[in-house]
Formats: sequence, structure tokens, C-alpha cells
Amino acid sequence: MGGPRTWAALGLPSARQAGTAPASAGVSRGVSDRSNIYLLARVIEGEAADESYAGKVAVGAVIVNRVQSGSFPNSLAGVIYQPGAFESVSNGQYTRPVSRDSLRAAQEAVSGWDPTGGALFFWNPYKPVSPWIWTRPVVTQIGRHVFAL
Amino acid sequence: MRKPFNWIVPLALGLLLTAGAAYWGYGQIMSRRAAETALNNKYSLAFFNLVNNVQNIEVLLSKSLVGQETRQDSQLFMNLWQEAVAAQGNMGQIPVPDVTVARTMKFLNQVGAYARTLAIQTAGGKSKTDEQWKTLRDLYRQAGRLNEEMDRVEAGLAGGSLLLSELKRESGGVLRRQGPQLANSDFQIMDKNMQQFPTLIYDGPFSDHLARRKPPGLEGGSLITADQAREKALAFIDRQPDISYTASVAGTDNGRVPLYRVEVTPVPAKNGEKIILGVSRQAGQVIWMISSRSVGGAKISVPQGMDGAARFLEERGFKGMESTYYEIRDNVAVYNFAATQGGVILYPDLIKVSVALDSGQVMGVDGTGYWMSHRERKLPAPAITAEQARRKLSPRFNDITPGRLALIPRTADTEALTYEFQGRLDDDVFLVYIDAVTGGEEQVLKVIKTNDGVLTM
Repeated sequence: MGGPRTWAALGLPSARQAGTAPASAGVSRGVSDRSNIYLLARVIEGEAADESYAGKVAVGAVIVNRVQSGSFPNSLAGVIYQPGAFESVSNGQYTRPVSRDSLRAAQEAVSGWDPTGGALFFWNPYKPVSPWIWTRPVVTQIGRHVFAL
Repeated sequence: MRKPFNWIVPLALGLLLTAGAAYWGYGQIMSRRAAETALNNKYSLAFFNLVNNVQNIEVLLSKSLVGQETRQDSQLFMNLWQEAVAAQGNMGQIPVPDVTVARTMKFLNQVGAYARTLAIQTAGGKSKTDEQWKTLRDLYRQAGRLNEEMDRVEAGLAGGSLLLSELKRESGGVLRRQGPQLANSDFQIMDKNMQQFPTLIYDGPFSDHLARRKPPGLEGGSLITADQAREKALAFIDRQPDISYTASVAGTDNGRVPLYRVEVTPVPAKNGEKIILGVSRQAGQVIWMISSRSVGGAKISVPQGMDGAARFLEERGFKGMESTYYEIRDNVAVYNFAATQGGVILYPDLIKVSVALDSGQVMGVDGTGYWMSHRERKLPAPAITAEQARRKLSPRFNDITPGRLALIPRTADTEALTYEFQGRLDDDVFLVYIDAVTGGEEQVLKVIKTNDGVLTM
């Protein structure tokens, strides 16, 4: 009775559970839905336009990790539009045109690549951030972003 | 002749302009107010729905403590699962910072997933165990506490002392600098109380033990140094002719698998190409590889790329890998390979290889699935033959493959040995998995056709 999550983890992105798929299934790593990839790419562009390619994949991976985490909404749109979750979504910057790199990074993140090792948070330490964020266990820093579990 | 009233025109013009501006400004204020009200109403709707959901969750959980009959229980758990899903959907729309509600969200997700697990169990005729009853009681108490907190927030909302759009304004830009304030603190208290909730271990996707899983594929390996990590990376990459490579360790990562992050730069470098690899500190295996190189027009075919990917894995010590699926995006083909053991395909042990179709160079590898689950398994002996399993398939099913043994994940951390059949119903292709030990139907998957994804099994 593997859920769609498990199946996506198997790398069968276009194979979906028929019939009894839970309503919460939504999108998970591996569902190569074009509109979802594009939505993800827009947020990557908004959050990490000036980052290296790996930095872009990392931001995409955090969003994909959130979809799979119990502590966040269970769909890609739910995670991205969770109020206040991403600065570029709150201030509308994520509607900028998407670069080819961001699109590729989004595809790579959805396909399962995760250079953050399962991170759920990222922030720019050179900008003022609220102190609670540093209570999260830091995984790594890529470019100007710190990634944490 | 002097015109006595020549000031009238500018005055009239001025008045007209002022009136115009005032009218315009008034319109702006009104439309802003309307937008704000609409937003507020949307937030309030989500919040009040959430309150309802949590109340229902509490009631359903309390009923589940009393009920004994499995058929009733199954219904109850289905409803509980639905309420929890709805609750977390509504929670995700409330404008409080994600961290503030992370634990509450997790609680709702776990209640849902736990209810689903129990719904499936009780539908199969197996009643809940004492252990499960105790967990349900804990969940019920927690739901009760959550309900009380929500009541407090709700009182503030209904009294108008707290507007959710205010909250939103705070959390949108200012919060990152100033930290939580306002009614956020109500949500914060709520979330803090969720902290006391014990870790929940069950057979489902959000179970707490899954996060602590160790990669069995790396077990027993010794720790490597940064220098060794550089060498491992240099030995792993797909070297191109007439190019030399230099590697440096960019950092150590403390994710699920502790890593050295190694950056490899080709010399001469073109198009800012950089290859980044995650090399595990234990056992020194490359867990993932990413290349930033841009890819030109396709010059090699998809099967050629697949052969290249298979050879790449073979040369790096992955034996008996079988290709299962590929997809193409932007002249890059991503091939999935699963490990095999004694002819049984092991779907959980998955490795992905991306190949640039302009030169055939292997650009990326994602071995997280492989290293997180690969081990020598004790596979059960099939109790039925493929032919017997085939007879369990729907007679409406056409063009069925002979069937082969495949190990598939049953839940997040249990696996089932099955016969895999591919077949079609009209134009739709399905994969059906029949349990090779019990003969039960384990899984039905529909293959959704896309232009760039193809099953290769």
C-alpha cells in the first residue's frame, strides 16, 4: 500500500496510484508536471537568481523537501503559497521571467537531486533575520544561503 | 479691455483637479479596503474551517477510543483521515510564519497518516491493538489541548481584536527582522504546546523514526579525509578527452548523510562549467553529482545515452543495475536504474543518472535512494508462481506482460515481494503488483503518458 510518495521515491514519476490515492497526495518529488516545474522555477528565480547552479537546485530541493515533510503543506502549491513562507512570493518578485538555469534547477530538484541533504529552511545570513532561525540545525552553506533541517 | 473674470478659469480648473484627485483617491482607498476585507475574509474562512476540523478531529479520536468493531472503526478512521487532510490544508492558508505552525502542522499530518494506516488495517479485518489504542488516547489528549488554544485565538478573532491581515502584514516583510509579535504569539504558544507531544512511530509516511533512518548502504564503512574525498570525486566524474580536472573541498554538510562537498573544475573551463559532488564522509561514496554545464543540441540518441549511463555505473562498481524509466528535458536524459538481487528487481534501491545528449557526458547522479536503502536482503520465497498471480488480474486487462518478481515499498519502511505485470485497459497502461507470498493485489499504478517520460521495463 505504498503511498504516492513512496512511489515517487521509486522514480516512477509518471506512474500514479489509481483509485484510492489519498486526497492529500498532491504533488511529490517525481511528479513531472510541467506547470508545477514552472511554478517551482519561478520561486527559484525569485529566491536565488544570483546563486550558482547548485545553489538554485538547493533552493528547489528545500521546497520539494517541504512537500514531503509532515511539518508543511502536502502539495507544491500549498508550500509555495503558504503565507509568508517565501519572500519573493510575498513581494511578487517570483513573477519575473524565469531563466533557463532556474527551469533546469527546478526539473533537477523535482527529479530528486538534493544538494542540501534534506534541508527544510534556507536564509541569507548577510541580511537581518530573526534569531529563531539559527536554532535550526544548520546543514551547510551554498553561496549566500544557509540551509538547515 | 480688461477681462474681470479671467481668474475663474484657473480656479475652476484647480477645483476640478482637486475634486478629481479626491475622487480618485477615494476610489483607491475604497478598492484597497475592499481588497483587504476580501483577504481578511479569506483568512478568516480558513481559520474557522480549521477550528471546525480540529473539533471534529477531537470528537472522532474520542469515538475511536470507545469503538471496538473493526467495520465501524474503519469508517471512523477514514473520516479522521479526511478531517486531518482538510485541517492541514486550511492551516497552510493562515498567514502566520511557517516555523510558528510547523509542529501543529506535523501533528495534523501525523493524525491523518496514522488514521489512514489504521483505516487500511481495520478495513482488512484486523482490529486495533492495545498499543495503537494508547497512541490514539495520546493523540486525543493532544487534540484537546490544541482545541483549547484554538479557542483562545478564535475568541480574539471573533472579538475583532485581531485581524488576520494585520498578522499577514507583520509576517510578510517585517517579521523576518523583528521576530514574531502580535497574535503570532498566540499561534506560537499553541505551537509550543505541541512540542510536548511524544514522537509518534507508526507505519506511515510522517512517522518520526523515518527522519532518523541511517543509510544501510554505507554502514561499516570507515571515515575518509577531505583529501580522500577529492580523490573519490576525481575518480567518479565522467572525464572528457583533452581536459584535466582540479578538485577542492567546498565544505562539509551535515544533512541526512554527512558529506564532503567537492567542487571539480575542468581545465580549460568552458561556459563556467563546474561539477559538484556530495561524497559521504563514511565509506566515501558519491551520493550525488550536479553539473552546471549548459547543454547544446542533441547529437546522440536516447538508447545511446542509456548505454553510456549503464556503462558509467558498471565502471563505478554498481553491478546488476537495471534500467526502469527515463525522461528527457532540455536535451538532458535522466535514466533510472534499480538494483537487482537474484533476478528480483529492487525498486527502492534506485539510482538516477543524467546524460547530456550533445556529447553523451554523464552530468549528474542521484544515488540517495540507493544508499538509503541498499543492502543484501533476505527475500522471502514466492508462494505462488507468476502464472498463478497472472490469473488474479482483471479479465478486462489486455496485452499483459509475463510478469516478473519485483520488490516494492509497501509503506515508508516496509517492502513486499510481488509479481509485476504491465498491461492495458483501452488506451491506458497500468502496472499491477500481486503479492508473491499472499497472492493479494498489492498495488495498481496508472502510467501517465507524457511526451518526455518513458517506462523502459
